[in-house]
Amino acid sequence: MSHRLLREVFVLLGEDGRILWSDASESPVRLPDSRARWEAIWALRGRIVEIAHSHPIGPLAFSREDATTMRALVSALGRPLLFSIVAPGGMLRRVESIDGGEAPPARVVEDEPHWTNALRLASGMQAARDKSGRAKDLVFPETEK
Amino acid sequence: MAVLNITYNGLSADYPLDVDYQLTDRDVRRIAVEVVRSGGIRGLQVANLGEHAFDDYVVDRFDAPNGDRDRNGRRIYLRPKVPFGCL
Repeated sequence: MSHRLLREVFVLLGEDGRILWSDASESPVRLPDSRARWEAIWALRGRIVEIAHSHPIGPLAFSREDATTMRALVSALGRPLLFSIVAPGGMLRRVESIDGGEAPPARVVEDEPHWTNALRLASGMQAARDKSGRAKDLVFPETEK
Repeated sequence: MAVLNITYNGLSADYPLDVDYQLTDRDVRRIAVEVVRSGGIRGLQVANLGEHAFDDYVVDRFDAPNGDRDRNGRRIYLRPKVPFGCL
């Protein structure tokens, strides 16, 4: 698949995996800084349960850019936050604390939430497969606008 | 005259800056550290705030809506950076 079809997608998630806000880049490897993204995070801070983005060409790991951004966000919001990455090979989650200490280890999510397939498709990835090799049901969560 | 808006620890508040020169991003971050340490913003005092507390923040600058800088000043926002990426 051409990388031109792939892009990083960012979502703010509320209770029950409801997508509160999203944006996307034109690149499969970077999602540039955005004042609009920050304003959305601040406006929705009381309802955000999880912050996720895609790595459509991998890796299934948080980058240094991700790590410094997550640290800045918890400092600004004053509370721990759950962050996740969705890559072709799986999903990774990590809680960023506000104590400034060493980041806890990220964990691979075996039973992915329903919104990950929508995020994969929006990013140009293929939908996740179940154990029999069939694409999992695609559920587009209700999105608020 | 400028107004510095700082977002930290769940609060977002303004602090008046009586400056008549162009502050660099480094200046803004250093001033913010001192303002928060000294309690210059009500409800936002962290006496032992680290010197690098705002290293991962960005500085956004805006002129007042009517463009009259002398009377209404500039607004300077110190906010967390929000880029992501796999590199």
